[in-house]
Amino acid sequence: MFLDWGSITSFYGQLLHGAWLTLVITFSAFALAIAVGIVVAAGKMSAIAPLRWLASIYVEVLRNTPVLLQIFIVFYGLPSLGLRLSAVTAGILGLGLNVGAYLGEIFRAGVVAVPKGHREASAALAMSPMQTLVWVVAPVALRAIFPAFSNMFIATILGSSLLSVIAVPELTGRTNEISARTFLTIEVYSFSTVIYLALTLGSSLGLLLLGRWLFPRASRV
Amino acid sequence: MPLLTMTNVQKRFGSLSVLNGIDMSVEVGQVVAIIGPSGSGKSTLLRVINGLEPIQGGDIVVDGISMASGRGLHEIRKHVGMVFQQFNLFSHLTVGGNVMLAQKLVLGRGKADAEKRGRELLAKVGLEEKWDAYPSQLSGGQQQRVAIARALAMDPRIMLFDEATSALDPELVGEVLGVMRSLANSGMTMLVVTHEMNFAREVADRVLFMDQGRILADGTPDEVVAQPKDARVQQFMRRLTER
Ligand SMILES: Nc1ncnc2c1ncn2[C@@H]1O[C@H](COP(=O)(O)OP(=O)(O)O)[C@@H](O)[C@H]1O
Ligand SMILES: [Mg+2]
Repeated sequence: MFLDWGSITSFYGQLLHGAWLTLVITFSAFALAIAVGIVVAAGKMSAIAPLRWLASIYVEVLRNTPVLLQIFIVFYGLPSLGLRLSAVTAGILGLGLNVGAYLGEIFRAGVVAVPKGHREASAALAMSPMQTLVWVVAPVALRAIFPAFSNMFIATILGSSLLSVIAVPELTGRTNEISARTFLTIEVYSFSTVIYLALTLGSSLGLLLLGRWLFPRASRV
Repeated sequence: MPLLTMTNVQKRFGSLSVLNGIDMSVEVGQVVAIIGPSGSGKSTLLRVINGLEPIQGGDIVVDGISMASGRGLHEIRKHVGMVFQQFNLFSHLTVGGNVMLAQKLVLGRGKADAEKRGRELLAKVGLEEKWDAYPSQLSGGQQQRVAIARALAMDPRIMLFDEATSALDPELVGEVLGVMRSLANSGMTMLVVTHEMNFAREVADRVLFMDQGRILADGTPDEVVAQPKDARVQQFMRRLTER
């Protein structure tokens, strides 16, 4: 078999451009997912029963149907309701809504993991519920869930490749396209694999260091 | 005027009646020990005073502020410090962070003022050098002394202690009781739920004996601990000394 590594150098630029778009999609979708996750977690822990049901339905539906289907619904379904989105926007929305369902469960688990005594101590010190949430519950919860939170970020990078199906030219989309055009299949896919590994392993390392910095060993519950 | 007044306070958990019409008052500077069998409502009595448990009847007035009034709960909490059996330090904050957080958030003190007051109080409980340590790096006795300093940093009028030494290894009890003793000597008004009869006898001005959500006896340590009149109290004391 003859592998033509030399020829793909001319496509490096396009592939790196795809990688950049992958990062933009990942960060946007994950930011959306954090917002959705906070709302979902708050809903699941609400004192109002219908809000709890709504949040539960959201989580169960989004976690028990294919992400790809959810992306299709946003991209092909919303226009029939009069909302036309670009493929990138629709993809970010679909992916973010999906990851948000998972993050909601993770956030909730984090809040549950905060010892009850922390909240009682805050109340006894006359801190308001909001102050307690921001300064005590959230940081202790985030410490507890940081590994799961980091894993979801990696999952979002990988999930962003699904957007290639709605013709978003992110890394996987670009790779497909170049491969189809040039038949340098192995070469192009190998190169993309290396870029994905760099993105995921680099993110893992970055998140690990961020966690160490944010949460010194002795600060755990 | 008493610093704390409870009138006909009723507390129920569902159908379980835990405080059955508590009437009592505490004067400024008094140290009141609260004793009684497990489940008699001692913790609940302390917890209703700072509103950790809402009451179903009666009223609680601290320093002239009624729990039933508009900002009553918040104002009362600012005047009442509490120390828990399990210390309840904030695990994500250093000792310094623990003693400064509520000063900054609730009293609006600047960092410099909060740190100054925090260091003063840590020195008082003998832990000034632990400013940068996390709770997990301290012994139980040290954690409880930090918890006392954290509560005192709010400049409370009353301090509540709920079995502050019960979770400690025996050799660490003394250091915490020592801090409580010197706090009592400094004139702090204190309500102390305890099984330490020596502390009740030597430090308290007054001892309450609780049973089934009622105050069965209320008097000097001599009257309640040494020569109890009530048969139920006598029985409790006999059991304690038999152990
Ligand atoms: N949060 C709660 N929910 C239901 N019952 C409770 C709760 N807290 C305390 N109780 C009950 O109230 C009674 C008094 O409890 P407590 O005040 O903790 O007693 P003590 O401190 O004297 O041991 C007990 O029967 C206990 O089971
Ligand atoms: Mg108790």
